[in-house]
Amino acid sequence: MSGTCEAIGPELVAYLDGALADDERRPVASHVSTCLVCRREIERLTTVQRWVAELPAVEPSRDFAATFWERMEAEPAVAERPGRPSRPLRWVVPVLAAAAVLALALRSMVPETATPAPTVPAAPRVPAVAAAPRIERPQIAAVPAAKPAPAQLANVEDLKPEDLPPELLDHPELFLRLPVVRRLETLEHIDAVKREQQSEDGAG
Amino acid sequence: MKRLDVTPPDPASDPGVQLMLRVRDGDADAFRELFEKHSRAIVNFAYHFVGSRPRAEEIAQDVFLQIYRAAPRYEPTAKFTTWLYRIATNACLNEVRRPEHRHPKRSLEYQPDDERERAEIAYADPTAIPGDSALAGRQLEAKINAVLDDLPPNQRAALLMSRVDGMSYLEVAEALDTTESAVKSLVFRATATMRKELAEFL
Repeated sequence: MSGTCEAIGPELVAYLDGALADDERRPVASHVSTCLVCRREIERLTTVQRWVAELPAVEPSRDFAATFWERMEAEPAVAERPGRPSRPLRWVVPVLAAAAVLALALRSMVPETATPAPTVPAAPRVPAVAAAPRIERPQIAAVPAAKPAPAQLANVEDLKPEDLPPELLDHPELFLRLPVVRRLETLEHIDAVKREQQSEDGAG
Repeated sequence: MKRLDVTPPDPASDPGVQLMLRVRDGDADAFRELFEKHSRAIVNFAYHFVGSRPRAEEIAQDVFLQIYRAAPRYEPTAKFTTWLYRIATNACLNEVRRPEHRHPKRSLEYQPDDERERAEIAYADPTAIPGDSALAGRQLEAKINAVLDDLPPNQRAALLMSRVDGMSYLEVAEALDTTESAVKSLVFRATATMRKELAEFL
C-alpha cells in the first residue's frame, strides 16, 4: 500500500457515494484506475455498504397503527387548538399588544397638568404585559379624540426626535407611524426634556 | 471537503411539505396520509437504531405525535423527510441515552423478540446475503446488527440514513444539524468499522 493509498483511503466511501466534488473526485478516480489494492478495497466497501442497505426491514406489528390512532384520539384537532390564531391574522395580536403597551407608556409620560386625563372609565392598574393580550382598544381610541393633531405633525415621519412637539404624545396614531427605532429615540428625547424641566422646577 | 454543487430542492415543491401544510390548516386526512406513507420507514429506522421493535414502534408513534403537535407552528424550511428524520433521530438519541435503556447487544445469537416478530420480518432479498446457507446469512445479519449497536450513535444515525434510507449527505447533514463534511466523516468511520468487524465474511 502506497502513501497515496493511505491518503485516498478516507475518501473512498464518499467517492463510492458520489459525494465528492469534481476536484476531489478526479485524483481518487485517477489513482483507483491504476491501483489494484484500492480497487480491491472498493469492492469490499461496496459489499459492506450493500449488506447494510439490504438489512431485513422490520415490519410494524399488526396493532401498531391502531395503537397510534388510539393515542391520537386524546389529541385536540389542529384547527381546534385553543388560542391558535387564524393564519392571516397572526400578526394582529403582537402588533395590537405593542400598540396598547406603547399607548399606556405614552399616557404615563404626559404631565398631569399638560393634558387632562381622557374620559375613560377608571381601569385597575395592571402590569402592561398582563394587559396586552386583552387589547385596551377603547383607551387607544380615546386619547387622540381630545383635540385635532397640530398641522406641524402632518409629516411626522420627516421630523427629528428633538423637533417633535409635546403634542405628539396626545396623538399615538401619529406616533405609531414612526419606525420603532425613531419611536424609542423620541421617547428618550421626551424623557430627557421632562427630567430637565423637573430639574428646573425643583431649582426654581 | 468542499460543498458539492447540489442545489437543495425547493421545500415548497416537496409532496410531504404540501401534505404537512394541509395538516397545519387542520386537514386530518393529510396527516393520516403522512402517517401511512412514512411510519413504516420510521419504525424500521428506529428498530435498527435502538434494537428493539416494541421500542421502535413507541418511538415512531411519539415522532408522529410530535409532528402533529408541532403542526400549527410548522414552516417549511426543508424537505419533509429531512424534518421527519431529524425528529426521529433526536427521539432515538434520547432513547439510547436514557440510563434505563437496555442496550440490546444483538449478538450472533440474536433472535427477534418472539415468533410472531420473526414471522413478520420481511427479508428484502435473502439471496443478497452471501453464504453457503440461510444460517450463514442470519449469522451475518446478527453480526451487522451487533456492530451497528456498538457504533457511536451519530455514526449509526448517519450510516442508517445514508445506506438504509438512501438519503444524500446533504439531507443527512440537515437531519443531524451538521455539515456535509461532518457527515462524510461519520459515514466513512462507520463503514470502516463495519468493514473491519465483518472481515471474516468478506
